[in-house]
Amino acid sequence: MGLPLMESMLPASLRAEAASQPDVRRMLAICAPLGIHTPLLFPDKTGTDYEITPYLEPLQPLRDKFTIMSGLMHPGVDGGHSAEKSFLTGAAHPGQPSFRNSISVDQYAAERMGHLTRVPSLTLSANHTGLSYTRSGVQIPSETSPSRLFAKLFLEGNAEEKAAQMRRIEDGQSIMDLVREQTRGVSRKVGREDNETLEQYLTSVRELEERLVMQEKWAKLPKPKVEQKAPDDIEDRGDFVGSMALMYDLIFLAFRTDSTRLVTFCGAGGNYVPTLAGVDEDWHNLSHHGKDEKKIEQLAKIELEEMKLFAKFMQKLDEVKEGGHSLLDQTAIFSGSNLGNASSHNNSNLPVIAAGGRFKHGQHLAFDQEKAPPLCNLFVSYLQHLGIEADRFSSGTGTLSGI
Amino acid sequence: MVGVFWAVLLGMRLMRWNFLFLAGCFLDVGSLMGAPEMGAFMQEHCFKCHGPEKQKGKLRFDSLGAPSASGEDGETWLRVLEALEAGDMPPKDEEQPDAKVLGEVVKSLGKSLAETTELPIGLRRLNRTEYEYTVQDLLGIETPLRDLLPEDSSVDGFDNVTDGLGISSVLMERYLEAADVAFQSTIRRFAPLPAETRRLMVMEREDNIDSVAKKKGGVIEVEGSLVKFTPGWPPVRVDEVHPIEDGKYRCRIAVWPYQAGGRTLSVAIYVGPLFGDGKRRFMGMFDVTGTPEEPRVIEFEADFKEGETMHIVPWIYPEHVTWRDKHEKQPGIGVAWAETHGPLNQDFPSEAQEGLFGKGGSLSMKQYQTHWMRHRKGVWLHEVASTTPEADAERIIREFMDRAFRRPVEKETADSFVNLTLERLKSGRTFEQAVRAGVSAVLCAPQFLLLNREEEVDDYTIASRLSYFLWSSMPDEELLRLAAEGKLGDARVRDEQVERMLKSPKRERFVKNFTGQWLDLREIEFTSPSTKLYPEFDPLLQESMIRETEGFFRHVLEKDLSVMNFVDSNFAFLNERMAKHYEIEGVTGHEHSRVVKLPEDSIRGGVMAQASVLKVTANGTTTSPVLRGVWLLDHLLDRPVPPPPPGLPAVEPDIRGATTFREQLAKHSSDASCARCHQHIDPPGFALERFDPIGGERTWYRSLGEGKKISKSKPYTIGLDVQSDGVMTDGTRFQDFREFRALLMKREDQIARGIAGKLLVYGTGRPLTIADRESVEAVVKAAKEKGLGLRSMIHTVVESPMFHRR
Repeated sequence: MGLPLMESMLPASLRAEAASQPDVRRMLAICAPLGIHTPLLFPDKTGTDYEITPYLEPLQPLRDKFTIMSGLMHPGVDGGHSAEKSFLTGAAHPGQPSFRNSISVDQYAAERMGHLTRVPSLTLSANHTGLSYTRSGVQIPSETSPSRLFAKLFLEGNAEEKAAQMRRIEDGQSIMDLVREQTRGVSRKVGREDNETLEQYLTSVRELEERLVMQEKWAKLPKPKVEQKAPDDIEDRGDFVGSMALMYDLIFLAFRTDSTRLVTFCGAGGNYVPTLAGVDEDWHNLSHHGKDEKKIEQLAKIELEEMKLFAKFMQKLDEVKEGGHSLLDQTAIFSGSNLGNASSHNNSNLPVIAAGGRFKHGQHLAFDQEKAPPLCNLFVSYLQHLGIEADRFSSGTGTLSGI
Repeated sequence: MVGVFWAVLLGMRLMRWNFLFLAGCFLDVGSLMGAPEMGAFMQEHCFKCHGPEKQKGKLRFDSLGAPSASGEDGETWLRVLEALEAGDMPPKDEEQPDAKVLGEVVKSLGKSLAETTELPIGLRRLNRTEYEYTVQDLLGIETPLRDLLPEDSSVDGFDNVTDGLGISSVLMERYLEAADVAFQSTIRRFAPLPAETRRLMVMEREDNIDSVAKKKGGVIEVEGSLVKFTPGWPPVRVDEVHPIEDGKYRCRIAVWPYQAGGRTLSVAIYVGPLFGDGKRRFMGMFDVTGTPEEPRVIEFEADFKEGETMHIVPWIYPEHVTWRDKHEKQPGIGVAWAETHGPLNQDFPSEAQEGLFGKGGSLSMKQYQTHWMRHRKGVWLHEVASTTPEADAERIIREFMDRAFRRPVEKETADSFVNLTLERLKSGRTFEQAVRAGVSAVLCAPQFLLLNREEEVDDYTIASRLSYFLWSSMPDEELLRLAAEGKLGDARVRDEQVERMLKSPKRERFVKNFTGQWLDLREIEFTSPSTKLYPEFDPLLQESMIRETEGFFRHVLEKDLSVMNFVDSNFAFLNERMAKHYEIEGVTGHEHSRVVKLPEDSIRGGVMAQASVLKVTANGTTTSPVLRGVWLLDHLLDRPVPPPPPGLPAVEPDIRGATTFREQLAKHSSDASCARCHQHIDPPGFALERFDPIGGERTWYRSLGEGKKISKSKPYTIGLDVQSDGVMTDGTRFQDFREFRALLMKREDQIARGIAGKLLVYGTGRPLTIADRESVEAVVKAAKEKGLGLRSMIHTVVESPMFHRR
């Protein structure tokens, strides 16, 4: 599915909207769950004249639109693969038995600006788990099907389906109204009104009521029209390139039509052999390469494809102008992994690419691991890019210096 | 003095400290006055390194408040207790306290901390597994629901523990959707086709003839059957027998072994869409026996969606090297015919609908919309209608609520749900739509979704606790009847109920959920072993591993054998594939695993030597003594390990054959501060080095680099020798895994406490606090009288204070 979407192809209403809201800010976070082999990513030289590394090659046409960062991590976030849970939350020790997660940066933003769009935020995944967590640490189920996502954003149902949808929303409102009353009753009986579970219950019901009101409002407005046809899902897991390309296309469309301003995307990776020339071993297994050169060689083929997909996506964002800026300038992108070294499963010196969002780019920011600021400082910078007045987030104590 | 260093440290589970932030915790000065003996002891033995001058590990004790588990210093105190109990502190090279004094200090500190622990109440929501089973049991449906809900997180190793079960509006929205899906699936919208039998002789189908003609994937035709040699392409096409309507079907497939060459051949059957292997459902693994004339007929029942197919996948072990191999002929699976019969359930209205709505009388099925189907004309969709909608709606909701809320519902509460339903009816909803709203409201209500929401623990609470412990679902009629009769307060009745529940097929949910989490069997698919290093690994082995451990657990449960069997046993639960993996003779057939007495010289026995456990603790390529050591401490030895301090480089595995993990680790953990934890972690990890990432026994590492060549057919070489000796923290040496295991067998109390702790956490859905030691000890003491039998232990968990606490 190629998706060239020129400004002229947008419906007039959307064009008008774009003009009246010239400064729409967005954020996207991407995670490579099986790591990125950093020796092929990190340049030796720091600053603006860093040398081109194999993985950064595909991004070179946009060299001044991104920053490669080394030496960063989430303080206290360890536990190998478990760290994926804390990738956007920064919550410490995700591998510990008593771990409880906290809110992810996209949801923190969605609580403040989610009401502005049809969909407050999108949690997407090319494997199965997503990256977003609610305030109470509940993982948000991720959307893995491009066709379902397309339908949700762009396909209008027929009259009967729309009526049924409206009935569901209305019934949902009455149901939640009753459930709220019942929860109060249960709280009184339990006699511990401060009980966290009951408090969360009540808040959740209240928030869902608000959401249903918003959904009702949006259900009455037509969905944005796009030229593209609904995509078919790719069933072959090995074709991760195809599946991820579909998702990137839809993220682009979702931003372009202002259907949402916040997206998280957990990339592909798992126990299967990717369909790529020269790759015949299981991906997860290759990431545990044990320094075997042949394994690293195969792994590099896979990861280079991921970089190419990302480069293509950025290129597309950059080609679209909105107000005086490109869509890329309006979108702060964080792409990286929760694993610094997949083979030893450590969670320090994470691969981080910061792109778009009108930051100072075109450089390799190499932090001293001993003295590096927390990765969440980047999130604080991104929240400010979104226009949210935040000077802390999770372990983040301020904006990230250098960008 | 057995295992001071391995002593039970329940308190550790509580700890959520962060090494980084501890330094900020010290506020008061000199308030240790509140506990003079403790103060004196600590002044003598602790302040030198953790006092005004030095604060090793960023810990300072002279400024702590009185011993208390709550408040600012709670976690520090728990840590002090843990270090004293384990004998970690004072360090070995310092003057040691008198054993009697130490004993008293530990006892009094333990008591102070237990008394000041705030006990978590049992209030929690259902997790998604429990939600699915509960709604299915409640509505009499089999529709999968758990994937509609967000994943639950685990606390203390289990996903049914209060602290891990957060609630958010996202979850609430999903509950609304799931209720809708559940409600819809109680209603059958049109009468199914009459049941029909469809059979296909496989070689009468064009695709299969074509596959043979073009030698696709090497398939051939023998005696009128299609013979398939590999799991891969092309599939055996049986489109003629695809069900043309959704429903449950009885399936039969005729297979026979071709050129088996002494092997037991097996075949895996899946049901799902023709393309896309992600959505296939595993139906089972079957031995392929018989002859072309009298083939084995495999039979099973499965739910099909229209157009889904059966996938017939040969699982052949040992794998034939290549078709060029001249030593023997290539074995394959002959498929003669396939058949489906159904749809089996012909009821219209469906049984589930009648269970919810009732039947006959004022109720009817009303046509509301035509439905296009390729193979049938004039099909109408139906909805449930009533001639007395108000009365019926009220009756349905009232009846439903009593069961859904697992106890009698007060009138006032019931009225509000009835009113919602009637109000929907008034606002113009159809009868069915109004009932749907009422049912959805019940399924989103806190009285349905929350457990232990009552002020007091009464008989109904006990009924629910029993059923969520052993069935992961709501209490059945008998439990609710006993609750209504007020009989569940009687320990004898509870005993009988536990016995009854453990005999019900629903106890499989306990077996699966408990072993899946206690022994991490849920992680079995997380890694696929490297095909170069472990070419013998196959899906048959993985399936057999799970069957081994679940079967082993089930056997210990059924026979009420001692939990020490989890450490070492003289039997294993094997099929042919597992037995070959373990080099044990005399087990034939893959389909049924069974109890096998282990030969004297076998290294197997217990769960530590089971391939499933050894696989989930490795990464597919390498093993790490650190990860396996940590795993063993937490899962079997009752000593969870805190996270490593930040900023330490991890050991990077190296499979090039020049260095072992152990050699690298030696450099890494020689540092004294590292040694404090690694002295506990590494020895069990070293012992387990005897086993490779797929649970095979080994004396050398497989290498992809340096090493002695074996033969052309092996992609790996003989790398460095495995060292599996070690020194326990109490100084006891072990030469290898067997000696290590024998040492653990002497630590009956520790092992029993560990397993009791896991059962208590799972059985009550609460994290263990230091105050729960009483329950743990009670369970162990009572179970000891019954030879530490696993089933006896479950009975004692049900009688423990923790199970009955609010």
